[in-house]
Amino acid sequence: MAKWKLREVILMVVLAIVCGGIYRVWDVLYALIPATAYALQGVMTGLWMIAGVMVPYIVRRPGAALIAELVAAAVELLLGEQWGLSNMISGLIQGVGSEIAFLLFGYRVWNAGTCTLSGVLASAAFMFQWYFQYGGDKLHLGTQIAFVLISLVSGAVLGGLLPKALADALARTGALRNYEIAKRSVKSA
Amino acid sequence: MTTASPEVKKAVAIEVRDLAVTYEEAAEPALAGVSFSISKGECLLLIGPSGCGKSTLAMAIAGIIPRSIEARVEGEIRLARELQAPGKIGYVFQDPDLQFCMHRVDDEIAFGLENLRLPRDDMKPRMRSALEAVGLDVGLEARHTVFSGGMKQKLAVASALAMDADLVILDEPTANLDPDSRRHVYDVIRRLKEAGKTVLVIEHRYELLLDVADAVVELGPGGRATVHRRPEEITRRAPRPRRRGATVRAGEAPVLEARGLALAYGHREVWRNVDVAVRPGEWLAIVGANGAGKSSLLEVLAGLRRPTQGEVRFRGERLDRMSAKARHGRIAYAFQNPEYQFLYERVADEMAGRVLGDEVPDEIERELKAFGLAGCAHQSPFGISQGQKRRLAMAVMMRQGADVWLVDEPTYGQDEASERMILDRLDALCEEGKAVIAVTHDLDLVAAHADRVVVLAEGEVAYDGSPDGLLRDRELLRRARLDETAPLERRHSRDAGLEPGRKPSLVGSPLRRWHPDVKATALLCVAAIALCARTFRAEGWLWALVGVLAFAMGWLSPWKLIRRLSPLLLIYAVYLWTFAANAAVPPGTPVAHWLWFRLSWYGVWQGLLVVLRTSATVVLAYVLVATTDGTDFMVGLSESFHLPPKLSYGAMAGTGFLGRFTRDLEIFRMARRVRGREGWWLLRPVRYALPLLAQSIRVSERLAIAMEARGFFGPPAERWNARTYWRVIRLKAADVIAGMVLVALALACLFI
Repeated sequence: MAKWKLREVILMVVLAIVCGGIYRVWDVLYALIPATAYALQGVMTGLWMIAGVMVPYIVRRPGAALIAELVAAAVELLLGEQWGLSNMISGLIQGVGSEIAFLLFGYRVWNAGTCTLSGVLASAAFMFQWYFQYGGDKLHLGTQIAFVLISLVSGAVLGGLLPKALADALARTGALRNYEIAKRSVKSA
Repeated sequence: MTTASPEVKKAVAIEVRDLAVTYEEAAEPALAGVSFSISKGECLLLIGPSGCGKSTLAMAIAGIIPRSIEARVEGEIRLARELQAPGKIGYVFQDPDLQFCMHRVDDEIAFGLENLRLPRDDMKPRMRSALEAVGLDVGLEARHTVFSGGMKQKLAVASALAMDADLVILDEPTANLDPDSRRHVYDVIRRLKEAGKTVLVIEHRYELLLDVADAVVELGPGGRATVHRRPEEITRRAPRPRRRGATVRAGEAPVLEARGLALAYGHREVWRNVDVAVRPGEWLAIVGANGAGKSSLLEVLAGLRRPTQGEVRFRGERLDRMSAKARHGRIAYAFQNPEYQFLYERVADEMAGRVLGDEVPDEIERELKAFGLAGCAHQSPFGISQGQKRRLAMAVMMRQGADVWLVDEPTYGQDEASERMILDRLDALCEEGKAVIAVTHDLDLVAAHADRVVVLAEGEVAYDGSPDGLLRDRELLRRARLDETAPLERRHSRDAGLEPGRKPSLVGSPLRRWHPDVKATALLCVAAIALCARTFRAEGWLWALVGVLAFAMGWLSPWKLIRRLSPLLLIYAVYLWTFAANAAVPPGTPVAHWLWFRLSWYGVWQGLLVVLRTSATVVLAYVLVATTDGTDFMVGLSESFHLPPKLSYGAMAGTGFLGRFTRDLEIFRMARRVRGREGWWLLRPVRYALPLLAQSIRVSERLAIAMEARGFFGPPAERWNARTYWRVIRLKAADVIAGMVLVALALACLFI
């Protein structure tokens, strides 16, 4: 923790705030797209994982995924989401899920593969909460399987590849010159 | 190199010899061969065109370069011995919003003192005398987020003085301020000099400082310095010549006309009775102090914001009846921050309005060249200089051929050449018979370019007439807070609009007095336990526990809680439906089939369980937020749980961004609407992300630099016990025991 640069800490919080704001918009959409086809809601779940990939992918430090996802969840909470403290628990377990992917590779591999894995693991972690808390266990088996599969794919795409693409696009704008993401790619180029 | 040197004469504060600074990726040095010196108690004025390295020089003297910003520094900067201790050099940045990391005046000043490890008991007198020294008459608990720009800059100086700074560096302190706030800052500079401080000011509009300055260093392009020991010999900037002939087509009907406009945000009225009309060929300026509602008026005129009363007509047609496409095609709008208008990843694509291949058509190249953007075609619009961004946004708008041009602060963040180009372009538009309406702080610009000027003051149009008439009316200028030369009444100027801040959280309900971080952890545990409740009985007990927490321990008003949480009812109703329609039912339960849904009462009951489970944690969240002070929470993480201060204070600084975020988002949506690219609403969050993120990264960089400039580096930032604390947040055994009891009770609820 002590190795973090101050600008990385602030960047993490600021990005998490932006993500929290995006989550909040997503919360409303999720709730109000009436549950016509339950499993299709799973398509949306991946977006709630973006902070857990985008921030570590930019600052490349252990713990970044977990803290960023937690802070984003806290911001979402302060903006008045509908899940209360359950949302902090989501942030916690999704953050752990995201973190594990990067940990498995010793925080040395930062590519589409690890980002996708990170999104999938975060989504998988959320499936536990969905099953036990949000009533997943009460649904038809077919609905359950469809929801889980769709959510995992959503985690991979919306929660893994999208934030990576966003971070890469940001790096191309030159705004991230002073962060690890730019330094690494310069070296490898 | 910063070196201690015994042979520096005592009277000399700073001596710079042959200084060169080169940024990491730059081919050319930003500064080269700069030499000068400042004696103690002198005021040095640093001038020169934008981008010539003024800030680089100032930041090198303050040590920010290379400590916070990486660069190669050659040559010598010798500081007098007393300037070498921490806190002796104070730095005030250009953007008043991007240098604070706390929310209240006392916390803010204390932040620097904590970095110096000043004992807590000594802090209060220092705060008071520093506030007095800059003439900022506010309560220590006032929240500085509501301050005007001028007051914020005063607070920044006060924070430096509290740290006992002997050298105060002000880096374009008035660039973002209206004329009225500007004179407050000039007054502070005079006070600093009277108090015997050494002062270094970077200022673009330096005329008013020439009588305070003892010397002037002029940096030329390429970073070479000329030193003038006699400020009176400095050539004052020539007033902008008025080059425009009469272009107003007085006989023609107004192209844009507004009648009886009024605007209010909630109960707060911004202005009323506003009539504005602009004719073909006319340049109309809108001026007024910060917060007078100038930008809001421009937004209303563009049809981006709905007025509370009145209507706007374009060539006789009501704006709100025109299609968005027609409206934004005829009325061009340039935002203060041009970035918000960019849609593409490359300058050439942006210019063309579509994604081009590697080959850029000649026509696009020519247009880019005409706007001084040659060679930028393949760069990112977000990565070019501030002036280039503004010109690119202008160039893109030129292609649409609008009849009315609304421009917010055309010269904001521009160097002189870029400013000239943009103003000339606007002049040319008037000659073609287009109309220009520009919001500005700059009365020189008004005099040189506008045909007519509207002054917004005290919620009304205070003046509508020729620029000359306005500039002659000193009384009006003073009333509209546009006169930067008017003297300040020093004694009786209690700064308006400030209520004392909230009382510290040490008093109040048991939940308020509970250690914030222990409380958060305990409530989170209760929420986690609530997840495991599977029966109505267990959930009933948990709800009882939550009720006791909220009302008996937290003393919350049930009425407020219900009002606050009622919007969620709809969401929970949808929830209930989901389960009624989709639940797996045990065999033998009656089920009604409708479309592909299988409705059952059994499902409704299951849904109710889920709803009760989740909404209990919503109330817990409300309880936590309503009884916790955010600053206590963050500071407590370091003070009680020994988190590196870098993390807790860094996070604290980042949260300041939350307040700006909503406003940024709103402007950003308008910017997209102007370009007809608001996007499909479902995809909006994704499409908005890139520019918003680019903006937030810049914000975080500046905040980090500002915090480090106040001594937040090394041990005070890395170890919890290497700093002192202004906020006393004690962790008592009772706090922990209460937490354990609460968690035990929650667990018990599951098994009763």
